[in-house]
Amino acid sequence: MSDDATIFGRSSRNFAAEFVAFLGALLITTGSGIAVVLRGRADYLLTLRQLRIVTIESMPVMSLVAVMGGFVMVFESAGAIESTGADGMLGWAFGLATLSEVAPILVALMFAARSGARTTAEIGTKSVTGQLDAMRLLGVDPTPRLSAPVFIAMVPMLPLMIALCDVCAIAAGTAGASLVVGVNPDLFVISMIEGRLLDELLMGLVKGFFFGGVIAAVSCTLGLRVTGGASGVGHAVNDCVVFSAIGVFIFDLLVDLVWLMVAS
Amino acid sequence: MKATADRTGIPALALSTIRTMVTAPPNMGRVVREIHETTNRSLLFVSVTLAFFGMILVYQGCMQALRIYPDLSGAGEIVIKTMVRVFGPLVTGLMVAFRVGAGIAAEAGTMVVTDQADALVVTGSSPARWLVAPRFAACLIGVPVLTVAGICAGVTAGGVFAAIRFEILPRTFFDIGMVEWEDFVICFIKAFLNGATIPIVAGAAGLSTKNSSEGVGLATTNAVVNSAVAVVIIEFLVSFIASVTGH
Repeated sequence: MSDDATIFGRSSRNFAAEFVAFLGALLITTGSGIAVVLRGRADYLLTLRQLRIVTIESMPVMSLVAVMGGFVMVFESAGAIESTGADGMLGWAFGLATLSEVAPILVALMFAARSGARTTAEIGTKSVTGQLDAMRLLGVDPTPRLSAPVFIAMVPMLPLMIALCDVCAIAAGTAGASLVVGVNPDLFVISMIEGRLLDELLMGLVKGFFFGGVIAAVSCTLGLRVTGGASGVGHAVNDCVVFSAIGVFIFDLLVDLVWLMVAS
Repeated sequence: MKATADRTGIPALALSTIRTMVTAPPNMGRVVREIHETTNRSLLFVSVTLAFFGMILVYQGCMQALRIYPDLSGAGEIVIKTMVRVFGPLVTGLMVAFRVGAGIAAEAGTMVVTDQADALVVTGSSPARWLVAPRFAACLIGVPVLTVAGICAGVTAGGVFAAIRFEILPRTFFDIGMVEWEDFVICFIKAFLNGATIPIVAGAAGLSTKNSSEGVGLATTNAVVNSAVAVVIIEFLVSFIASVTGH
């Protein structure tokens, strides 16, 4: 464990150099991935497979996390609401926090952990077992078969998963509010509707596109750079979730700042 | 033959880890090294993510508060309270699951693939004793520390952001008047449970690795997903109990 390759945990003198090299690789992977997608050369069947992985196969975990997150949000905001006596605001406060921040961040983190890590593991395994070299040797470009399907699948599907989890979280929040906190569900839902949260909903979905792009770029780049056998694949997966998480938080703040600038 | 195959479920691994902790506690030197590995080396990552989260929380909180009432003097109190009660333990737990959980699973998986896990059993030790128990002890100590550090980073970044963007004086922002002792109790319960759960869930995923490099990658993925879900479930259970008992 002492020689682990986790860049963000390493006290190496070459940290800056490695980080710059990583950013360069990130740009190259993203650029070539997008170029292939725009020219329509992405592999059709592999794209379908990737779409299945990121949506249908992730749905159980995503909705479980969203339901739990919805309950937590309503339990925790209930204390603040009760102390001010504003029962009618609970739905609004809950919906606002959930739609604009909590659901997108939770979904993106779970997405990074599930689909991003899986992509890195798959591409990394191909890399360490020499399959990537074999493809290049035969004159086959790996991009249309490996990273382009990931970009096509992740960028549009992450907002879709956020929308699904918004629904789950709101259902869980309404149930939690009426069963545990004791707020009338009608009042809860009405206050959410009257809060006019369309702006927050849209902002959450727009964030999804950025998060999807970050996770796709990070997971493909790290997968293509894997060296060092089985433990190398494990460490690359480790790096993938770490860098994706940092990227998600950075882009969340950026979208927040830019959104308000554009909206006002 | 995989001698470790019957020790890879989460309940079984939890039981044998706890038994090991009681009967043959890992030596202190090893635990200290693991604390360095899990805590010190995650500190930068946890601080960076929580700092961004603190700024997000302040930004959203203040923008929404301004729509109702143009006075932001109470914003700091609410941000600090929610950070301590909810988001500090939750986000830190997720980040530890990502960084530490993935590391544990990658190492355990590599040991299984290279037959070192079987060698441990043959020599009279066990993966629970050698791999999981030291990290279990390290995370019990390290995760609460990381949670506190993360909350400090988040609140500080949020305070600086509030001072620059919303011109809230730091003296007004850093007001812990709303934070009660039970908020800290809830925070630490969540942090301890996260610390106890992540190494076991991640270790179980790592030890159930099958065949070669593909297996290690998949086991690491499973470890991250399972321990992240475990963190969210812990958050839910503790909040639920706190809410029902009126804290």
